[in-house]
Amino acid sequence: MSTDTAAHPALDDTAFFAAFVDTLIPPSAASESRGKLPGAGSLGLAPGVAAAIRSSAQLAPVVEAGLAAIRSEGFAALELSRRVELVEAQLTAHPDLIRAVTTPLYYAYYQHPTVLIGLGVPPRPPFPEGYEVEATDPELLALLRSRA
Amino acid sequence: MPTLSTPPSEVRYILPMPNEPVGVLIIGAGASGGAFAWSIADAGMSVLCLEQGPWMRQSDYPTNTMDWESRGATEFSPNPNTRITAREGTTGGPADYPVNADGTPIKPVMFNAVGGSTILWAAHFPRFTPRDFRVRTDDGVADDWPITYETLEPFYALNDQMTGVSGLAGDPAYPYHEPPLPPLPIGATGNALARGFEKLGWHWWPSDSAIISQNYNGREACINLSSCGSGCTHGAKASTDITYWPYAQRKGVELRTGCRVREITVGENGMADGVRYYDEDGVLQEQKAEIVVVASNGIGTPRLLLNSASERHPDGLANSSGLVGKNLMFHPYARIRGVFPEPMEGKGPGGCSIWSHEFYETDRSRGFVRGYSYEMSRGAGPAATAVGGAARGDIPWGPGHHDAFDALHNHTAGMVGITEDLPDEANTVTLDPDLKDSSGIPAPKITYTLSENSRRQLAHAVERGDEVLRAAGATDTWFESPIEQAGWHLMGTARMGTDPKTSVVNEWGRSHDVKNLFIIDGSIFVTSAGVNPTSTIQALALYIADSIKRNIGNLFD
Repeated sequence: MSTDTAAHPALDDTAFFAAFVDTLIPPSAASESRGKLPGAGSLGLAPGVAAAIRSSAQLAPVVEAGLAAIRSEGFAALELSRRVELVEAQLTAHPDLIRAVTTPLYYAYYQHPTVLIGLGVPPRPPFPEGYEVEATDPELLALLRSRA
Repeated sequence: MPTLSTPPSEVRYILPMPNEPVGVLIIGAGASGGAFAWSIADAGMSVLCLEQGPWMRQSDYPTNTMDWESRGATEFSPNPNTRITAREGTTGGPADYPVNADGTPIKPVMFNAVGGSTILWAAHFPRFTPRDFRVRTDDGVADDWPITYETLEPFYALNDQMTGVSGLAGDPAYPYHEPPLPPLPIGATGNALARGFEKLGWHWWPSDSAIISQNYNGREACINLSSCGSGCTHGAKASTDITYWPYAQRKGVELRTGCRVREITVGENGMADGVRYYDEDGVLQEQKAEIVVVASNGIGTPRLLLNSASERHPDGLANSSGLVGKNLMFHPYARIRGVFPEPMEGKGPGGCSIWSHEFYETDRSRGFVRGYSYEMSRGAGPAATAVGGAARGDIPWGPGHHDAFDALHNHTAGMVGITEDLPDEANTVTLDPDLKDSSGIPAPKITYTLSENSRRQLAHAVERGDEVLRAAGATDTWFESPIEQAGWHLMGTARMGTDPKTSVVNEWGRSHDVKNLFIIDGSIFVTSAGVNPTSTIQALALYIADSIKRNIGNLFD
């Protein structure tokens, strides 16, 4: 658990941090293999991800420093391409920023029911229904039995 | 009351009530402890098992909740150090002890509960082959075991029945045996990879799996929850809390949970006379026993023996050979995965599909001695796909994120290469001078170096794995070698043998030094083979229990 009691103005700026995570995972139109996917910010994931980062005494100062360098009043209103440029401009000075955020962010995003539906994955826990698995190819099994 | 730092010799015991002496005291309720307890209960002696972890509840396993992937990576991580961090501030209890793994490129992983590491294992269940027991004779390396495949064969078969093993009889890589249940479906990934092996003319076979393909002994067949590695909510995967333990308890075996053994005690006659342990309330207790059996895995067992040093045994109990804690073997793993244009289902028992022994036997033209097996694995969930892809640099953040994710999710299949790790006395479990568990007991420290022979095996496994994946239709591949978080198999740290100068226990698990002290876990392995060890660990435990029962009249001669 965190022993970091410092203030985190950038992490605590929900509107800014939502725009930041929306930059990391932007919305996407439907493709051949799946449906439309929302951006991470619009799913409301920012507060939970920020809380997870705050709870780590190692990660919180790293992320806060990186975000502080990016944060500006108009960041959330910028086009995606411009937000990407602003983030990339800080990665040399803050090389651990992205990994520190993406691990909790990706877990949050890819376990969200809306995202799972978009991916065509049943939005439920595995238990109790489980899943269907393709049967073993009978031709392959026959080959093996001939070698037994 | 004694404090956690009070040396054992200065402790004055104030016990709430005396513990009745028992005939057999087992330390650890995992793979070996469960099998041994069930068997030894027939000997007519009272049997008690002390387990530092709790009983697990299937309703607590991650596959009951939407966040099953993140819970599997934190509170149910196989790495005890990760679990300790994840559970700080919770009421999870002190089941896990920390491990100083700074000195090893392969991190030891395990689980502490009734069932031990079988709670989180993949349940891949190969036996050793006959040649695995005679590597000195056949290949001139390491040492032969003092027992043979034939010694263990009846106990492999008994263990298969108790566990509920699914498989296909007739694998030419093994002496003929019949698993009690038909094989698990190998799925789209298994079918694709099997066709790749067929193209190359390489050996493959459906894995023997400790997962039931049909209803068996009150357990329901596997429904492909696909997260075997964080506990099986359905009970289809065999873990000894649901296989051996209910039967052992029915026979009268007592199992006390939350009990962490601090040391094994020795009487005036030089025999083990019991243990001192912290109970679930943290109170130091004493338990007397006629026979003490250690089943605490290849790290926990040497740790306990070294923590049991005394005036009579200054270098640790049962350690006149100096080999307690030495010859640690892990099984270095390589992961090789491919990207396929067609969909590859990610579901099914992750580690149980097909195996290959194509490169299992020694062929010195390959540049190494002994060999490795392949174990095909299925796909990952969406979150693990994203996190893993990001860590490798295959899934970027920003505008290209979704396309890169789409190319990987449900489009990968692959395998792990499991290499035979040869014993080396420089690879050790010792006691850390500073690190302690929550009871104040010194924690283990691992010192391990990957050998040149292992490096060459891993490189070969990666190259040949790439070849077979491309033969199966993969358009791209990647690998991780050695896999860091894969020290599942903890072996060799209290090896068996007939010579007390070069081994810790004899050919049926009895300490050379202390005649009523037995060791039954992976510590007693002489060599590691190139396959998962649990089937052999449990067969050994059953064999040792049988040996004790057969020799009960002159057990301590």
